[in-house]
Amino acid sequence: MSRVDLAALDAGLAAHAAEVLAALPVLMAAAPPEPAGVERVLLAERDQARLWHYPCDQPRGAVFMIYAFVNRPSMLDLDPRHSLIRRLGELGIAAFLVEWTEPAPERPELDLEACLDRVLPELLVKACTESGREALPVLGVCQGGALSLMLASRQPERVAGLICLVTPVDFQTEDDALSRFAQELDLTALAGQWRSLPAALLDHLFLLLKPYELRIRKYAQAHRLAQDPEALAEFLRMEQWIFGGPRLAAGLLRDFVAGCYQGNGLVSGAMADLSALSMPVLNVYALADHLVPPAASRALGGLLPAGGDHEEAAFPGGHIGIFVSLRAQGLLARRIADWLSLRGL
Amino acid sequence: MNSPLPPNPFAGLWLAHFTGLAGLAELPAQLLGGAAQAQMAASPQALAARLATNLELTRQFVTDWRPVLAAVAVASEADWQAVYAREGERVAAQCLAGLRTASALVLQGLSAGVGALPGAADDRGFGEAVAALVEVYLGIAACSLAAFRLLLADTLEGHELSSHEQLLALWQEATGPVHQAALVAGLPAAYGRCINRFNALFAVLQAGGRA
Repeated sequence: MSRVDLAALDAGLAAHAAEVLAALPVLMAAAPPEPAGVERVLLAERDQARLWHYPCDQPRGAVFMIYAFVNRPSMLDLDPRHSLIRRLGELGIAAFLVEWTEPAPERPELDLEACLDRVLPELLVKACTESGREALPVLGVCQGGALSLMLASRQPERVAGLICLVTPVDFQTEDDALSRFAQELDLTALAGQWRSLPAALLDHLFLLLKPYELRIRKYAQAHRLAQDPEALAEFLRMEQWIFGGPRLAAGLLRDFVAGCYQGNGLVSGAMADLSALSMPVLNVYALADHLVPPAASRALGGLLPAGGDHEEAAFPGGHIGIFVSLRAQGLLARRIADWLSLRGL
Repeated sequence: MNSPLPPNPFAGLWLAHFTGLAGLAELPAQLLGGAAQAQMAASPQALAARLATNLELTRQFVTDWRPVLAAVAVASEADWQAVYAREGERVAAQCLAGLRTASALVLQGLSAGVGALPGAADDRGFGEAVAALVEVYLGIAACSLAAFRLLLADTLEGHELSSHEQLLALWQEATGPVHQAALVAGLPAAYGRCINRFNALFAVLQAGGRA
């Protein structure tokens, strides 16, 4: 049999090159995409945190969302087609979102204690007041999920339920590459030297985890975006999210890495006593998550009090895919809305 | 078929990008470059630059492996596997040698770049940490090439290979597990140690008024 068709190989590569080269001038002349998120209102600002309200028509519930320190929460609302916040709003769930901002040079440094004892509780109270409720369900995304667990253990009376999305709980599972990195970090030197760290530090690490997929394969068909301005804008908004994270407050990073990654404080109980949490919990993890392995999230089930109202939900896809994939975001929003509705939240 | 091919000046460069090693050279600039550089990385123009680079890398990848495929294409049914093994080994060795040269140049460039900054000459730890990280990458590259050669052989056994997309897909399928193993084995830790040393270097740069 013929094992290799060299002529076809050469012709295919030449055709591909021609397509790519034709796309380059179009891309060079393109403008950056306009923001296309849901209309929102800035409710409050405390230290390095902003509280945004995303109102919705005919609200029947609300969630207090805590995002991670790394990257920006625009990933939850990139554009009309890629927006967990919009999907929740369509189901009558209004969002109050905590966004972490860059540390301002003139302000004192924020550490994790201040964040958990002052900033988050104040913003949660503000969101409760705005929604006319004594307590709200808290939805944490990734690192924000870990923060939501810590907040719930400190302010249980304000947390009506917990929704943890792709949340690391056991920070030392076998397959956790980020943990391997974090174990090595000299945090004292890091925080002593830097007041804030460039987001590129983490961007670079994330690219390192999947270099071929994220630097080569991801762009294999990207030249075709030149023919589709809307698809190009969507792609670039995602790129902006990936590469446009805020600088990280070194103190926050030090405390989080030391307490969670190096100390595994959600498992040991040093960072939060999860066995005392009595509110209902929905724990969502992604089956192909390479940043927070499923085992790291699923550890939560064994740490919560036995016999409590706890659910686990697995979604196909990766760490980001469950938020931005057209199918997964709809399923995720529906699952969250149903879970809230069944509990009268 | 058996005559030696002229050395490919780009051999190994695609390998540096495919394994992630090339990104290492960007690290100091990214860390010191700040938000403006991040925004640039997400612009349409940056996308165009990325596509141009990736096209060139794809061409290099195919150029390096094409002689192997060409040799197999004209080999007899009885000896194509021996031809493939010999040619594949030659190309893999050529790519690894090129990669080692490229990584040495990366290290030299980093050392020269930071060494030229006031006060930075005192910090040798950064270069050592980067060199250790590069060694991890070289190990990944060697294992990746071996895995790719095995999978390519399996594919040629039962299927016709006729596109660069097939070759790239084979690379991904073969090397994904290799990289995953490296992530568990030691790559992130080596990167962490590199960041620690960069942190120490940054302290020196700050003292010198350069950061």
